[in-house]
Amino acid sequence: MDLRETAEESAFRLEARSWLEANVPQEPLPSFDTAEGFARHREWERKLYAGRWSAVSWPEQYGGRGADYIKWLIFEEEYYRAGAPGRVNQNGIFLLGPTIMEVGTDAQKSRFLPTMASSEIVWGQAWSEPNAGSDLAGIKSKATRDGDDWILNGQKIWASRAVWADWCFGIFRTDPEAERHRGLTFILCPLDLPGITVRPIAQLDGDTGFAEIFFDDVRVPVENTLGEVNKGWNVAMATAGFERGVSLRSPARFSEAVNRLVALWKRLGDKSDTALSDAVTDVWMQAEGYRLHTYQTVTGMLEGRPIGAEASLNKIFWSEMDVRIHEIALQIIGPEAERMEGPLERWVDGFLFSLSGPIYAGTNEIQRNIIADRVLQLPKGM
Amino acid sequence: MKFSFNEDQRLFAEGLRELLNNECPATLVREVWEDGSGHSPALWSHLAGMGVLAMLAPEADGGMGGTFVDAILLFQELGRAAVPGPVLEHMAVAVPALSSSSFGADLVSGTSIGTTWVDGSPYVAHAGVANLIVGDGRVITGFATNDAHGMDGGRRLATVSGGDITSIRTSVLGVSPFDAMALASAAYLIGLSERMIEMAAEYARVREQFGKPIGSFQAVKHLMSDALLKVEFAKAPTYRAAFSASIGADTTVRDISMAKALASEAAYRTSRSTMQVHGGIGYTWEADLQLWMKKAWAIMRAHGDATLLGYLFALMLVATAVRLFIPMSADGRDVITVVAAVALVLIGLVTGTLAGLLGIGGGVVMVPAMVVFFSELNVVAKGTSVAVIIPTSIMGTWRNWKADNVDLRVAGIVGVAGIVSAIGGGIIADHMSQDLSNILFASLVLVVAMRMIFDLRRDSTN
Ligand SMILES: Cc1cc2nc3c(=O)[nH]c(=O)nc-3n(C[C@H](O)[C@H](O)[C@H](O)COP(=O)(O)OP(=O)(O)OC[C@H]3O[C@@H](n4cnc5c(N)ncnc54)[C@H](O)[C@@H]3O)c2cc1C
Repeated sequence: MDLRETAEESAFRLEARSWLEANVPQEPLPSFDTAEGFARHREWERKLYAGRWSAVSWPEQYGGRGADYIKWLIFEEEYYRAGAPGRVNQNGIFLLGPTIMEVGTDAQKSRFLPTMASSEIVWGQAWSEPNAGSDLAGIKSKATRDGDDWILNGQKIWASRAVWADWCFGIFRTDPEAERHRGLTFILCPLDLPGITVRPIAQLDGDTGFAEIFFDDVRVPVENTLGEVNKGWNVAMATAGFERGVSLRSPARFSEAVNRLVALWKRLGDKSDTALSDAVTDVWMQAEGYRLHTYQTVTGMLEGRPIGAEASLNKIFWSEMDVRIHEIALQIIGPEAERMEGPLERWVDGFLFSLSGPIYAGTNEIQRNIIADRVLQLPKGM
Repeated sequence: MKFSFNEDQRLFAEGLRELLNNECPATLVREVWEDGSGHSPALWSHLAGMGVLAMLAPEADGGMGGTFVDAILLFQELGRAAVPGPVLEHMAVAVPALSSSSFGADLVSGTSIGTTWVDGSPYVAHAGVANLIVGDGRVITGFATNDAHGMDGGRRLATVSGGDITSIRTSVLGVSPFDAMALASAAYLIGLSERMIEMAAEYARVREQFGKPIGSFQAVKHLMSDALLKVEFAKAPTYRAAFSASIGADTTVRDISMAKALASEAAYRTSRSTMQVHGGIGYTWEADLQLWMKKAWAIMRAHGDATLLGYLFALMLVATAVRLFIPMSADGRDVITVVAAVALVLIGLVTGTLAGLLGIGGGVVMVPAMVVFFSELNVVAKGTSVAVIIPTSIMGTWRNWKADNVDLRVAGIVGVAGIVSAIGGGIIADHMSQDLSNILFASLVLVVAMRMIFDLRRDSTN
């Protein structure tokens, strides 16, 4: 064990830092859940790509730097430290990208990865359906084979950023006879095809951050299938593993948030309120714990011990910590936290968003069930 | 003892629930959010017609002559329906505080709308639709407003400028406007919570996943039961607070704070659990749940954050004064033991902290502490404190200097005057009797304590 950075890692950190310092926009961009904000975020992704910083852990041939996970975490730390914009193509770069690298054909890799790294194509995730959320294997949208095409029909919901995204990756039922988990296929689909209707849905803050997608006899070529036909569940679970595990919410995000929280407490907190300072300290320690835990996990991955059902532990931990960070911030802010605008707006927005963490990427109740069943091997309930 | 509501109180509350079922459905709540008004004149006249708005005005002023116990279930019903607009402010403060004034008749009839500005916030809720604002001891009319984008669309926040101020007594049936709002809000939060739980329970019965209603999963059952527990155990303290306020009990302020704190916590927990039970839909604008949640998040932070430390400190000062007034033998000085030495160090630490924190001289802390914890009754305590003041004051000044809180010119003038009078004071102290000196100091301490309590009340209500 050696928890110190190697010289190479430090050099990488410095390189990232100086690039970010020179390039991160001075003013925060408008929310990517608005048309203008989305476009501005896409522009920013282009810039990142040009500097080869948009997907540092990807191989160089697809626009990355071939950085290992440790370096990726270092990059993330620098990224949040610099106050850089949110990642509008996170579903692509962090979820679908790694999945394509794992199960995609060479043709698919060279076709999809570079445009993903550059955000020429921004991806949405079309999995959930009105009647299949927690019970994802209960999806009904189907893909029927017609010559060299799939014909897609059905309805997806809650697809983040799909209002302005270019493509989506979905799972569709391809064998209605098979057992629920068996007859599913993972299919990539442009969102501007005839037969597709995207209906924006306003989130808690009023912005249309996700959308419903209706498929009405939509035709896509079969080469858009990722992984094997009827093995879509396995592919999806690989993606979900990335999502819940480390890639969706890197520790840097929370380290940065708790540092801002400490600064907020120093500025506005009631110093005589020891319960408050305990709460701030507690959540700061949680963020530190999450950071250390993640370094340990990715070292394990580098040494060939892939993350399994334990990913659910991470997802519960970061989502609950994020809520806590914002609860404390709002407590410090006091009555002013009732305002949706002004200098402290970011905390209020962040609070609303944090509340969705225990729901998306599989609810925390489902994660607890998974932990109980697969990690603790408790008898199956329900 | 009898802890229940009488027939009239229950029937009135049921009547209000029925009225609100018809006149204040979720569609109306949403409508006034989205049209930006945050208020429904039609609903307002229904509430006026039923006598709800005038519940707390004496009959002589044209009101219903109700007490807080008569009104508490009504506040709760208003919360259940997430009633928009300044209904609580009007009903719990403006009407009872002003019913016998020249503003009274219009307020009681509901033709003039009152809101309040008593919660320490820089914004006034509902100012955009109100004709007058009740502050502590004053009424503002003819003001201009500027919307401040509150989270709850049924509680528009605004900054207020201009206007005419009338000084006026604003007691609400013997409690301050601030406490009246806190009490009404506690009951309103309980009503909000009850409805959120109903919505989520209803959803959990019909929404199916894995081929079963989600309400059949233990995780969901527990989320819901935990919320209900919090709400049910906030109710009795809230009703008790209403009772205390009605009879003018000594514990009224404490009881109201307790009710508000418990109800806020219950409403917050309920919002979290019920949103979670809704899954993805719970995070949308379309779901009615959000109208209730945001109201809870807004109100739980308004109307109630007394600085505990300040009150405790003021209490300690009172204890000192009491002890000083009781004559004691002059040789009651403690021997310095290890325990005493540790205690002295602790007093020193507390003194330093408080001096820096509250911006006061160490003496006001030291002397009381030494008097309360030791029997340092004579000049020694005062002399010691003068010596201790030097280092603590230097540190306090340095900290405040760094925070840009020091006005050197004023400090200089006060300091020079202080030196002159301190020399004089020292000479007088030598010649004064021990008892007289104690009584004088005790009086000073009492005055400081009263001022602190007064200031704290003003800070938290203004
Ligand atoms: C901000 C946000 C972004 C999202 N982005 C996307 C996206 O990009 N793409 C996408 O496909 N989806 C997305 N989702 C959807 C998300 O994955 C689902 O909302 C989630 O899986 C829950 O499904 P549901 O909404 O149908 O709730 P339900 O499944 O109906 O759950 C309702 C409640 O029941 C509980 N429950 C259900 N089953 C069980 C059980 N067996 N045991 C215990 N409790 C149970 C749940 O935990 C929850 O509390 C997003 C959601 C949100 C909030």
